[in-house]
Amino acid sequence: MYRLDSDFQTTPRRKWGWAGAIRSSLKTGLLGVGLVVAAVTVGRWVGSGQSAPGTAKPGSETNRLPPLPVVAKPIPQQPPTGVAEDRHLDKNPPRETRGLDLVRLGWSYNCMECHRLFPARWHYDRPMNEHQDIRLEHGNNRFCLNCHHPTDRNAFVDYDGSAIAEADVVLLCAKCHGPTYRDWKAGVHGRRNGFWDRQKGTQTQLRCIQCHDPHHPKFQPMPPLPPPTYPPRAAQPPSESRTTAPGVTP
Amino acid sequence: MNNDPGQPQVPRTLEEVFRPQNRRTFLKGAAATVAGMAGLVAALKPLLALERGEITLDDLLQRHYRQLTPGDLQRIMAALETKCQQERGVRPTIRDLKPMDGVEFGYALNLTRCIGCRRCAHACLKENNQSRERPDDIEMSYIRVLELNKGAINLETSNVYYDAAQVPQPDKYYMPVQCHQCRQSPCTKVCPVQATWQEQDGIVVVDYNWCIGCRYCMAACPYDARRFNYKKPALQKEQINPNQDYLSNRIRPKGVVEKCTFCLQRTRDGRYPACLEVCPTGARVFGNLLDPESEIHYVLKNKRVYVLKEEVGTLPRFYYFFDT
Amino acid sequence: MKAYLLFLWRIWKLSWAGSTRYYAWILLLTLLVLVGVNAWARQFVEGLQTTGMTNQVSWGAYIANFTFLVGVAAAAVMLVIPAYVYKKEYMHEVVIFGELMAIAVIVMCLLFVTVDLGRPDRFHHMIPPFGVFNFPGSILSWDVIVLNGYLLLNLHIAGYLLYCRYQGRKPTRRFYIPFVFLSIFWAVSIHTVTAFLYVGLAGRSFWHHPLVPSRFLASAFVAGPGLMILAFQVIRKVMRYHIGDAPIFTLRMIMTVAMLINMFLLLCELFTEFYYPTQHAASAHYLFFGVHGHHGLVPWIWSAISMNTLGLLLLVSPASRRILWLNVACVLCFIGIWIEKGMGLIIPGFVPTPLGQVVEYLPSVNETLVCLGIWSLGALMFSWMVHVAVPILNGSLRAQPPLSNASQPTATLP
Repeated sequence: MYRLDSDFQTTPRRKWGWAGAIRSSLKTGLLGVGLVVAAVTVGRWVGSGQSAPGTAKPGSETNRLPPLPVVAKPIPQQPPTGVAEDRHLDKNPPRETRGLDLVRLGWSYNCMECHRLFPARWHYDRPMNEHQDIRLEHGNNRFCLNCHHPTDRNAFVDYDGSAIAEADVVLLCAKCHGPTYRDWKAGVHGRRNGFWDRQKGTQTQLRCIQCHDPHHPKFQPMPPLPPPTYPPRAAQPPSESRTTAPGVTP
Repeated sequence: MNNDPGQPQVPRTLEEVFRPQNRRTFLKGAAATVAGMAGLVAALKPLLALERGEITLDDLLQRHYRQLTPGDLQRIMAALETKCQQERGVRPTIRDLKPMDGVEFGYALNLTRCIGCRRCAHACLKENNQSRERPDDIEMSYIRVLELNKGAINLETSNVYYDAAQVPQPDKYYMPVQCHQCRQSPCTKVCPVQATWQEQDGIVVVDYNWCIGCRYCMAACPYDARRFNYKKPALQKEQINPNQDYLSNRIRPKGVVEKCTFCLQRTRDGRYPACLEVCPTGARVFGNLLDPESEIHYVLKNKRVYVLKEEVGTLPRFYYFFDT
Repeated sequence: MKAYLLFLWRIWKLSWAGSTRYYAWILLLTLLVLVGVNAWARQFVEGLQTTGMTNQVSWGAYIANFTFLVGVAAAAVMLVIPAYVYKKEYMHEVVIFGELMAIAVIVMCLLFVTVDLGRPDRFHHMIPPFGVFNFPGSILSWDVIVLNGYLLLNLHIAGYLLYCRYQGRKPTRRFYIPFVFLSIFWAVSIHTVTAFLYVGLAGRSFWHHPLVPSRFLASAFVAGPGLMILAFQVIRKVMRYHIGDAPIFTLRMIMTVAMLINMFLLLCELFTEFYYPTQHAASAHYLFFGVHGHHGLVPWIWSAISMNTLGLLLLVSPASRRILWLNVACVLCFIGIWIEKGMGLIIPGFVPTPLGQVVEYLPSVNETLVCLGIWSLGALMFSWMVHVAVPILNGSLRAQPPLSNASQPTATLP
């Protein structure tokens, strides 16, 4: 398991060991920037989730990594959906939440490792060095720091500048999407799983980012499961319209 | 009757009538009778293919569900479990969950959210042990997902066969339809043997051991919510959901009608129905109508709710609503 | 009692006495019945998957034939009314055949309902001491009552009159006249209740229509008398029983009026559905013109309408004063109404489904064979009943032979 060093920018080689060395040198050769790029790499790595192990496979050498200090705010485990015995039902949330997935896999990370050096530009602008995968299509909300905390990048920002913990991302969304948040709290927006009768068992509820990518929150289209077929024993229609859409009758 | 017909034919005498009735014709008659009987036996030969134990004396003598004593029911359910194990190699657990006090189920579906992915229709199949020819054959699923043209709720232009690469399509919207558990249910009204009725919690159930298979309820249903077992259910061993209820998802016999029960094997246990559990958009809202704290209560109070085919007067417990 | 048993025994013996032609006819029908029984046995084992019915079109040829035949049975009233209400003497020579036909046809109706059941082994669930009878909620339970009641009424009236004729005595009026008048109302009720089966289903707008019962009766009073006209001609041709032309032309008049009403009601229906078509006209649209590339019923309904129109033209024209043209008209009307009530009324009620899905229906081979078997059984029953009734009616089978005292038939009995 990879752990990030809290102060790698000062002594990267020593702390990173072999994996870090390979990684750093690759990146250095590629970009020719050295230390800064190493930090950028980490940022990119965090941003794109599991893409990083392609460069350096976690293996025996990962054990040599020293443990990280615990991130200031605890990040909760990805909540389970519904009752475990319902294995016959596909209850996976529509979207893999990268951050939360990493947390589930045992990751913890500190955004401030990079961002203490690189304060984000106020306005979102596509050609950035890092977070290139982020496509911000959140309506008029085109400012990173509308949501991300300017000084504590591990958290989100509230109206008054105070921090919203990563775990409380729902509260962040609620800043603008009040009615939706109200519905969500009532169990009417988003999915609940488990027990409708809370006296009989627990209820789980999907959170905003398990369905919506916060950077482009429009719910993504998906392929439908197979349709029913025209009943085989029924008289076959003469035309080609066996399973195709009927036209719109005027 | 007129005793004296206007123009009587010359009546034949008794001798005339009985003249052919000599020994030879009598034998002829006897031979014809024997031949007829033999023909009847030959014609009924397909009955030999009937599986053993398909119709037992117990089946014939069984009473209506509501007349059964708890002991009888336990015995019947145990017999069904054994039969399922023998025939299909899985021993299910068949229960008889009763309606809960102070609970009336309601279901609401958010048409703004539904994208028509058919996850619900397929989950229904996985939960409720319907017959299927292929694993993805959802003909018997209790949910039909309709694709409709935006701008109207005109079911006549609906399409159930849509198979676009991605849903939702921009000019369409989607409407899953399943049993509406009507308060004025036409299906229970027309059943000649009361094999289907409304339970206290509003669920319309079928006693599969009482239904005679006349399909009048299917003709009566305005929501196409009922399915008929035209054959013995085709179901692989690994497709069987062993969590079963007598009035709900136990494997049905041939020749009876079945329907959505809001998964009462789950919901009377306090759990959500299967179709809700898999809905990726959270378009489905289920709960206790009588509980002011429930989600369904919130929807009815705060959303723009309508019922399908209100003009038929069925007063459904299934609602559609729009959102922003 | 002993005399009655003797009567039954004589009838039994009489059944076997007949010409080669009679034997050939009975044999043919028996074979067809056996084919039907065989097809039904297969259906019983394999389930209704042997039919063309689906979840979408859940009633098919069985219920269609049932509906049509209830009308034919009810049409017996069209002999009873002239005979008993208008006291037309010449109708009395045929009224018994109408009742016998009603018996045979009601048996066919009951069989068509039975073969339509998914679980015929649970038929007893409808019979009160063993089962739960949803009365008065379900119209189907009303239908069971009225059909069986009509069967009993006709069995009683026909049986009583025939037995009296056999005994050579005048029937006691109070033993049958009240039943005759009851049967008039009852006949109307069987077809009305059958229409209510469909009219009561608010979810099917094609059927939920106050015109349906009236049209049912009108068309029934075409098809039933049409069949009787044909049957009477066969009877008077092959059996020693005189049927004059008067009853036939009375029936022709009834047919003409009923067909006029039927066509008028059809016109009303077409106007309502198509002058300002609503969503509720979808079934009618499918029936007459097809929808979404599905045209399965279009040839059926247009042949029915042309047959009915042609039949009506023949009936109103002087041509049908000649028996030949009358027969052509009867055949056309009978088949036309049969299609109109089956493929033209029952099936389109299911197409499109209440959710707009269009699934077509055509009876399967096995289903057709079962239907054929039941029709043959009805023909067999009617042939047999006429075969034994005619000697009683024409006086050749009497308890006390009035014409001859030789060779007491009882002597041959054990």
